[in-house]
Amino acid sequence: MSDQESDKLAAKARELLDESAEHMDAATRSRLHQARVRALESRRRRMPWYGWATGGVFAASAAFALLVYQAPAQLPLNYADPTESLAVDDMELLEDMEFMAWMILQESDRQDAAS
Amino acid sequence: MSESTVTQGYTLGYRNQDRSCVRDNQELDTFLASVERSAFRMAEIATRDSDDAVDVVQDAMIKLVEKYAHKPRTEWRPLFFRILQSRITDFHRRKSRTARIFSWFGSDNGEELDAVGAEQTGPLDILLEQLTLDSLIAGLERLPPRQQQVFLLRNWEGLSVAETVKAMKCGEGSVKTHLSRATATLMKAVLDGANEARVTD
Repeated sequence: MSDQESDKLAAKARELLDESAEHMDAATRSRLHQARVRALESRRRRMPWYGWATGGVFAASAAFALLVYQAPAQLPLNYADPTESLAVDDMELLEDMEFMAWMILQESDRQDAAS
Repeated sequence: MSESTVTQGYTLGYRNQDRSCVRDNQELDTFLASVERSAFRMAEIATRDSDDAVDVVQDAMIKLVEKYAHKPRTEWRPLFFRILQSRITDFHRRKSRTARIFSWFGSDNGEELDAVGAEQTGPLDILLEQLTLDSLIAGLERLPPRQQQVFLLRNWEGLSVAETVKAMKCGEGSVKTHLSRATATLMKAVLDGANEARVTD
């Protein structure tokens, strides 16, 4: 069998397999999606800094709450509306905060489950 | 250092860590989404069962994410397929152990096709044009596992010889031999299929 014939067979096989992957049924696609999500979740569970980061978030939140509770609300003379400086970069911070909130909930669920 | 600077420092520390983690997860997600279908099809051809195939693919994904996510992105593909092939090999080992245990019931031992020797019965282009996915998959399923893996990695997934060597944990010569035999055996299956169709007609 010549190289040309081998190449033709390989090309045809690739075409058929590509087509089959492209038109995969919805149920299989869904199962693969779930498999991917589970794999990524397994990483979050195994992150070594996860535990202390969660603890740190709790501690920082408590300290912040204490600070806010004790300090009288005083606006500086040159007060500026913080929302004015909300730029595109800060949207990432909001997303990160959502992620931290998610982590706190996960940790809370885990502790509930443990207790 | 003011309180706000300290707070900002902590915030930035967490931000950078989380951001890099989220970015890594997004990259991993994108990568896994790009290979999951071909990986599934390879596993399905190897295991001949879609449930087993999903399990094999999920195991490979988890292993990649847990053990090799820190590796450079360019290494993920050969690493992922190496893990996948390893999982498929494990599947075959388990299956052959089960088959040995229950051999008295009689089972399909997955014999390799006979040596290639068929003569071409018509223009190859026409025969290949008539080749269907089902007959291709049937031909692939009858290949020995290593030949099947090399054929799919090289010809479908487009891995280079060097990447296939990494994925298969074997030598370059071995990859070339497996590919050559797989192609010849598949070609024979295509020609035999065309002959059978002609006789039936």
